[in-house]
Amino acid sequence: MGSSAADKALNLLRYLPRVCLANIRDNPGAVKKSRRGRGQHGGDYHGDGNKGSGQRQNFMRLGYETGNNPFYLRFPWEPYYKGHHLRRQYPPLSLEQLQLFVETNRVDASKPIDLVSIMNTGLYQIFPDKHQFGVHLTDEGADLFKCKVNIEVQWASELVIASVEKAGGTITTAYYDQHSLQAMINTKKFFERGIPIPRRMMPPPDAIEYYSDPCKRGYLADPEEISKERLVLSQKYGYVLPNIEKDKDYTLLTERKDPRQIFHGLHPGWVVNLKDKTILKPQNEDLKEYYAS
Amino acid sequence: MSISPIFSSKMFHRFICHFRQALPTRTLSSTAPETSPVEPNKNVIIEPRQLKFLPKYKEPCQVWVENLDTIDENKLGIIELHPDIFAVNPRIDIIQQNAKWQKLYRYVSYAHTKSRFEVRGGGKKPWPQKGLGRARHGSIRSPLFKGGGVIHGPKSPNPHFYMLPYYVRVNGLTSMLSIKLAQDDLHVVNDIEIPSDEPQYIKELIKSRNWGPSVLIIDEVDMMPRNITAATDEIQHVNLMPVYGLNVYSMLKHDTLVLTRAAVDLIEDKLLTALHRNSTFSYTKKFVLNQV
Amino acid sequence: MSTMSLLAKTSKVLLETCYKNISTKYTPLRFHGFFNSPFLEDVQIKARYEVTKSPEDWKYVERILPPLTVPELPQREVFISDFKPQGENHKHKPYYIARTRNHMIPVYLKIKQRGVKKLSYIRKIQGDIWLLQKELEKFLQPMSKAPLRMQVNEFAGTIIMNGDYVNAIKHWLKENDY
Repeated sequence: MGSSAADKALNLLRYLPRVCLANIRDNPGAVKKSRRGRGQHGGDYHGDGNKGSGQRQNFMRLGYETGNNPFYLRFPWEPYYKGHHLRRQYPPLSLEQLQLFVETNRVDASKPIDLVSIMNTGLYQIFPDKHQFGVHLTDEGADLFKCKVNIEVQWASELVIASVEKAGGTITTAYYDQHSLQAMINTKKFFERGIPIPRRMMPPPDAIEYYSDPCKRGYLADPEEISKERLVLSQKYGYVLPNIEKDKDYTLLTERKDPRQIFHGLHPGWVVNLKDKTILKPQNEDLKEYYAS
Repeated sequence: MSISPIFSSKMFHRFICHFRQALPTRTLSSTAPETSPVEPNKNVIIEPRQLKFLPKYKEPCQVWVENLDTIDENKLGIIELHPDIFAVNPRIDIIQQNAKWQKLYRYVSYAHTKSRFEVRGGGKKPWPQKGLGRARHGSIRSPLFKGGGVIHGPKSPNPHFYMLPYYVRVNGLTSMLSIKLAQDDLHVVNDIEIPSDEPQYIKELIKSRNWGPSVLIIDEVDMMPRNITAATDEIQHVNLMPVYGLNVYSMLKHDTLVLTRAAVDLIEDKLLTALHRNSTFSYTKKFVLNQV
Repeated sequence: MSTMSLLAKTSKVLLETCYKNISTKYTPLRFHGFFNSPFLEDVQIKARYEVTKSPEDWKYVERILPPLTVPELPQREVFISDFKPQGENHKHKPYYIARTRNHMIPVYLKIKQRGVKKLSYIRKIQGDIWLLQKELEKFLQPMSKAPLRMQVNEFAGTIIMNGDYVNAIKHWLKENDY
């Protein structure tokens, strides 16, 4: 390999005068100054007309049909998107991406994977203030998915559940309220605030059904029912269900959070002191009762 | 780097400095043996550095560690510098953008002019609309009049604050450090303890080592030893700065950059962390004032 | 004379008291401001807390703290995703394309003019960039009817070409162990 452009440039600089405030400049043409036009038509609009899309855009507005009654106005109004701005959103993460995260060491598959570990990759973002409530694991790359993981997401389709279970892993869908999500999106920032870990709230009425459904592997569903549904799903998709009871990673695959818990191993009400590396646990009975209920 | 890094062209360059016009194409071998080799100080042990995130197929740069406790230069050993920090593409345009930003972000323009309504007087119509054969006017403070208001003139205060993108700032620092090293303006010292607090000591030291004339000395901490603080206090072109103050403008302004060994470690650590951040979302997003 | 001396004396006393008050009350603090001013001291924390230092619990804290820098690639034989780590032995090849900090191939698609113009970018090229351009052209030209338009920036180490050839270039680079 020959010397790179950087080496050539640095070698050149050895023989050039010292770089100082007097001899630096930006690339030619990097900054374009807006100039005032002169002459007869200097002050007008360059043929673009006055205001609006004619002046500011080079394209027609969405749905505009050059004078026809547009398609989107031709029919009576129907409330397809009523209340869409209030609905819960789940930004997607595909199985292919998850596979890549595991293979490039961004996610540790030897520990349970949850929203915190997906956020810690630095490659996935959610905004709780924009009604985003967590990960939607999508089925892209489902055929190739081969990671044995214990994953907890907020939304998953049947195919995704099947492909995770086929690979020998387990999947749970769990709900987190906005305060819990704020603590989870950047744990370091949250602990530095010095406030107790909040307790996780129960899902709202319209989400209770989803999160207590064993078919959806909801975190509030009966574990007996879930193991039954695992078998049903394997028969539906036609694969042999790996026996996790005899797996050497049985404890990993069956590690679950309490419905009130946000972080594995840390209980609500605890305060984590990152500076002294200590954990403050509440002693008052009323506090204990509050965080346990 | 293509030249032998051990010499790092220091002596050669110093020689060339005097004869830059006369001898622009001298080779390294013809000048290096002229000077007698300096015996390294046996008392000081310079430990080799561990470089993190070392890129493939790039050689680390090598630099002498000098001392400050004698006026004449005493080479103590050689350390290696990270090529991603000290031998990157010298982007003059990025350096210029940094220098411009540093000048502008704290600049507030107080230039102020008055509009026709702010200039005192001018409420009365100066003469009747018709009948005088004169041009029609409504106010003697109209911009057409002498002593009238100014159209679209500067208004004060006008802050010129803006934020440069994070990686332009990071690359500005790496480019500038690379240029300083390439032009033989970067020196590493083991520490900044000097035996005397006289300004004359520093002046002689700079003269004997062919530094400067202006020198920027960077240390890891901001509470620096008493002697060097007192000695450089009165010399206006020799300045001390902690690592957290290191910036492109000051490096451009000073001819020679002197880093302590500890400062080199800290600068490299900070910049490598910046270049290999796990999550860049919070750094590359749009800048907002008063962000939490 | 006496009034003058009295005046001087009182002003001196006044100056001293002022100085004393100022120096005790307003000691200059580095990085001091509203956002890092001390908390109110008379706040009573009534809740009793047990301060624990168990390494068992701390393991769980460390597990969820985000890493500061990108983790290193693990040694792995099989990759099921389309990721392939960079091969060794590029030292004597005429050019080299470094991986990004996320261990990915630095080839990108840039869409301009509202989806009309598509540009493929290759970054981080070291060595003989012109040879790489020729080899790429040989590989990519059969995919296009029109002659490929390539822009080589030797100083920046980038090649920009007209058209979406990102997957093709990535495939070619992976084949060549970059």
